Amino acid sequence: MGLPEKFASIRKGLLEFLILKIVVADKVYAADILQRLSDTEFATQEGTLYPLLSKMRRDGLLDYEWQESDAGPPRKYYELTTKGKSQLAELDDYWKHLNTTVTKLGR
Amino acid sequence: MQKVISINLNGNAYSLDESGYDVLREYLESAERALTTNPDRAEIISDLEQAIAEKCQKFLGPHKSVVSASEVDQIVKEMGPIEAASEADASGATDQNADGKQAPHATPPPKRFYRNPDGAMIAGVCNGLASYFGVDVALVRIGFVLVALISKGAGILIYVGMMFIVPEARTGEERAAAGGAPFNAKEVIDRAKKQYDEGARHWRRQWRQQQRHWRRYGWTPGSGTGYGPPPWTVAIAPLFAFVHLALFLLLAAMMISLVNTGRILAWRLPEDVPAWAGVLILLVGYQIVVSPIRAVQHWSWNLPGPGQPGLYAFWNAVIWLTGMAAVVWIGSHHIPEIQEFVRRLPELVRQFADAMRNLVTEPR
Repeated sequence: MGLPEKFASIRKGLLEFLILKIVVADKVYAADILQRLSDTEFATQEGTLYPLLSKMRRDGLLDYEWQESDAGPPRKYYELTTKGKSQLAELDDYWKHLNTTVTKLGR
Repeated sequence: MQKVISINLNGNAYSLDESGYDVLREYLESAERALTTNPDRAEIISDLEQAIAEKCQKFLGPHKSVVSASEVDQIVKEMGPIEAASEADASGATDQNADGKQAPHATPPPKRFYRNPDGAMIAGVCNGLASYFGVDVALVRIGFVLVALISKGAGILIYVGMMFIVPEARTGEERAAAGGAPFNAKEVIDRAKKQYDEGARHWRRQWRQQQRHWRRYGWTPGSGTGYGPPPWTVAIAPLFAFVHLALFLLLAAMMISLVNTGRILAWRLPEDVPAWAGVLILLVGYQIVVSPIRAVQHWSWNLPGPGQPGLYAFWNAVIWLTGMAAVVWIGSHHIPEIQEFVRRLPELVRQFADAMRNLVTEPR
């Protein structure tokens, strides 16, 4: 088992958190999210992202609006709801907390 | 030469090689399968089609109008397999505390006990019970009628209680939950307990108020201050006993007629309804008709009356016992119908037992 595989489930679990972080910065199109993630360890494909976005929308974390595009049909632009923003703040705190724990533990 | 197939992706027309078309169709079908339980399936599929369409667009130009098979392969590889969000969620580290409350949305909803108004006869209690336990609704209804009979009507109270305690499945989600995945009994018990506590508190409060009232003003029966029945009910109380007795005699007459001849007065039981079922229906009907009379009787008995506390109970008992004794004596000596009835009774019980046994053992 390679090193990346050891953290595979952690990366997967962090995806929602990262999407919140990306979407809060500005309104984005699904392809933008993939683009932002593409050259990181969290590179993701449509097959994973779309179901996750729809789940987050059902949970009331984000919402979208249709916007016309020059190239082709209108696109869905995502943005955070108030709930999404407060969730992001909580997750951010928790992530920092986790980080401190990991750093402090042992050596 | 390759055959070209035209497809419509979320409203845009594209031309694909035939083999490319097969790959793409296979991909979208697998997506549909992976998302069968997802409430937003249609929306996700159309998003995916849109994304595929945009990827196709990249491969097309002024001099290229067909997406080749290898390009479709590449597109499908870029899209990646469909992962249900619930999976990502279950293995994810994000749903530890803050995210925990959202988890139920992603996992299939737990099965819950709802009243189901679809195809309900009264309020959907039996219907809800049936889908909750996954049994036929007719069985549940028969069970309820039996319980009502055995408990002399208390089963009806249970039903009425459930009508108020058990929520009705209104949304589609709730209806799905009414027949969904296994669920924990603790929730129902907790809910019932809560309702009971509230009810008990309410009655305790009422009772204390009533006691305070009595202490302050004293108990003055008949003056209309307390909970007691108005004086006229005491006067006509024996009348209730007569009505009760008359009803009972009517029931007995109908029962004998039903068992002996298969008719109730002039009305004949349908061919496909067995005699024992007729008897059960008759008994339930009797319980329902008689319950208000019985309630009035109990009410009067509890009355700390003016001097003669047990007057009404006494008369009731006298009338009742005399009536019963007369019926049994006359019947067993002079009326052949009653002798016939007694002779047929064991057969009826046996038929009933057989029917119940079949109901339980019959493969469904």
